[in-house]
Amino acid sequence: MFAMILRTQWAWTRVLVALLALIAFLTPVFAWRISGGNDRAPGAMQLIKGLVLLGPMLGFLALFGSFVLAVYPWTIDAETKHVYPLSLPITWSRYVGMRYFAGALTLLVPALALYVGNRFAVSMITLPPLLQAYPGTLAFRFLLAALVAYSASFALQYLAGRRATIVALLLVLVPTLIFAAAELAGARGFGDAVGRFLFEWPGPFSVFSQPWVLIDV
Amino acid sequence: MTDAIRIRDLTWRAGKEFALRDLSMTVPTGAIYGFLGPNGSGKTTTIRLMLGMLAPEHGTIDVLGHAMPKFAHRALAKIGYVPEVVHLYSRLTVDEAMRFHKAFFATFDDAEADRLRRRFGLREDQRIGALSKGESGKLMMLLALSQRAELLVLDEPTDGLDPVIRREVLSALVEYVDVHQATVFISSHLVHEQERICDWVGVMDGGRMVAELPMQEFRSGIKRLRVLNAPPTRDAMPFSVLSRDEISLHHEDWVVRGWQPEMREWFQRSGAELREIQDLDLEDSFVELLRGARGVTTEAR
Repeated sequence: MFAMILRTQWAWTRVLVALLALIAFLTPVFAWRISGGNDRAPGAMQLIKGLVLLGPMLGFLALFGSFVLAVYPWTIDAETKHVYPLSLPITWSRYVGMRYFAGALTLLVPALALYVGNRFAVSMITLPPLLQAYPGTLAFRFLLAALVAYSASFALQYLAGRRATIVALLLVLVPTLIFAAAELAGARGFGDAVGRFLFEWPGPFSVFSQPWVLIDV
Repeated sequence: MTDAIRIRDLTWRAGKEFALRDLSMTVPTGAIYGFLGPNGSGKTTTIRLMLGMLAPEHGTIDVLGHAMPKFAHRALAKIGYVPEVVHLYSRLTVDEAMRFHKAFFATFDDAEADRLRRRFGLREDQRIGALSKGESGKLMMLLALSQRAELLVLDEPTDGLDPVIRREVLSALVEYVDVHQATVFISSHLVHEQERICDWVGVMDGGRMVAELPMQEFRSGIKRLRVLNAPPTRDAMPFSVLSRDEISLHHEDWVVRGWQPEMREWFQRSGAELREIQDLDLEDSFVELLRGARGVTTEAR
């Protein structure tokens, strides 16, 4: 059963997964050029600077790609009001669980592409003493970020159904209003506290807010 | 004989405009049950409730011995379902759809699926989204028949199909029932089609069950009577009056249900005269049944 769910997931999303994988691979490979490096052989500093500039894009890629990977298969099911999965001899929760894991598995492809890109970028430079490359760690972090975004999007879509857009808007609007109100009231501490809760370790979205580092001490 | 489907006092509401009210239904095991009703009468909603896709507000539904919707996944393993509109994934090919379906139904018969695919003239590499309505209908029927279901639930399976394809689909269905003694629940508004294959009939209108009876009784028990000096009373009639139309000063046309020849005497006792008895075909019977249920004419049952 799961193999067939995975097969359909792949059939529906393979173009997007391939595109994500390509961008993930190219990001570290060409990062050194972003920092103004025109030499044929990049230096470690150029790569570090390039990734400081391009790093947040990995977070955005994980966020946007995962959102589409979670929502698109749902819309295909929704085209027929989920009649086919509901007519299969499995519980709805089991179907949804299999659909979730199938989508989560496809996230491995861009994460793997990023790992290969990281290795390739590191192989082009000579690391100075005391500096080390972390190609696997960066790729793993990308996978974690993608999983967080995917899980949130998937849960929102499957639990809220047609009301997902309204719920998503509320999830954006309510914190924004809280921040704005806190700013206007001069109670900046409250807004900061919420921000820290969400985006600082061990907050649920802290994986997005830390620097995307490939080379470090 | 046990019942394949047993529904009691089912109530379900969708907003203020539509509701199923106190619906009860019994489909005997092995029957070919025709579920008749005009468009919008609640047939598809009843089927979705029956299959556990919707939860009733009130009442009980048992399908193949399983309480629905709680044990829907157990019942669905033995049910072949062909919905009103194509429910399969449009991006899959015919072959992929067959393999996908097989993965969920342990009883799926590959050889039978392939035989039916050839018989229906479907190519393995055809994409479902590119199939015509007739081809999609044939594919859905192929999947339902190949899973060796004990109960087939077919929602308007031949609606919009040309006569040749309709005949192909129905003959495959009849063959299947002959071989496997399956129960068939077939919803349609095509009355003549139901007449040919069904042995039980249920008629639905406006979210209510208007009648449920063996096809033979439905076919022969509804008559149009021309009555002279019709009595005004409704008391103690041995039959149900579905409609009563005044033709002239002393003549009335009655459409009655449950007619038996010995009931002529009732008219004599009432001082009326029964001038003529006309047989109604199934479509007229169906229409009169609905008129009666809607209270279109002066008298109700």
